[in-house]
Amino acid sequence: MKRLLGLLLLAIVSSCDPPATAGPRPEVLAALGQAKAYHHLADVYLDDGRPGEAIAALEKILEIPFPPGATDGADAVLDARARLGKLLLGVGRLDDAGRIVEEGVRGARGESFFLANLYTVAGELHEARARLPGADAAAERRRAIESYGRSIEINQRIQKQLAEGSP
Amino acid sequence: MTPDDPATPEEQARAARLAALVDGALAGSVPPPVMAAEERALLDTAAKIRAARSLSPARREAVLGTIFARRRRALVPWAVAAMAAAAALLLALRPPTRPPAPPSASALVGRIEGADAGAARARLDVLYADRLAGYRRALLDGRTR
Repeated sequence: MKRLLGLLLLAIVSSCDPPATAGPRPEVLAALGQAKAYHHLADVYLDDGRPGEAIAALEKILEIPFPPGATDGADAVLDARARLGKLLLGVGRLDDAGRIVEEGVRGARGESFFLANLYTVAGELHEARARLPGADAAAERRRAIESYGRSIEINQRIQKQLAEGSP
Repeated sequence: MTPDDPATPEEQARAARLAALVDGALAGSVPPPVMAAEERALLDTAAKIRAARSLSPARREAVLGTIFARRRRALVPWAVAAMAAAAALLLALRPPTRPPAPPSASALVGRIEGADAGAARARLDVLYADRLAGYRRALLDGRTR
């Protein structure tokens, strides 16, 4: 009798645990792991004084086939573009940096801190172009202001959503 | 002669006479006016025993209340078991709840400052660690392939 009572109470208590969050799909996790490895590889190349190979490693992230609809993948790719853009800017390859950043901004599906960050990098690129000899500095600075403005707006919207409890 | 020896005819007759007297007294009959002292003492004792067995209404209610209280206490484990079984059945039959979605990557890393624009590796490390932990939990719970 007492044993039955104890078993029943144990069953009730174990059913009352709060549900854990849904786990990610294995294919998304694997793709994220790949991107993580390429980032670390790029770090090693940079520490070794081989920025060209670091750039190549980061470009590989853009080719990872993240599953469709995986927002984590989309955010990881946006962030990789931001890092790649900064790296290309650092080695003077502004056109390549601009292409990488523009592709990311045009292809973004939704707003996130990562998209806002990419707009920040876009703003830095336009600032760098404005300083180039013979550049249309006013136009580039105007584009920089637009990019920074977009970044600020997106950041504000995302912060507001998070404050209101939206994931 | 010992107490274990069988009763003599005289003893049996005396016992029968005393029994008749006690039965008569308990039935309300008036005892004979003349009785041996020993017989009167025995009759008085029987009457006292009979009186002690009867309970006043208050005392009767108190005794009965104790008896039924014991019975109620004896039912408590069964009542608890029945409630626990009903609760377990309700929990087993409730529709499965969908687990909540994990926090978005934006919620996880927070706003990215300008100085950290290129620090994608650190942010991905945070994201990957969180998702890996979630995957392990789901694996242990049997909620993933």
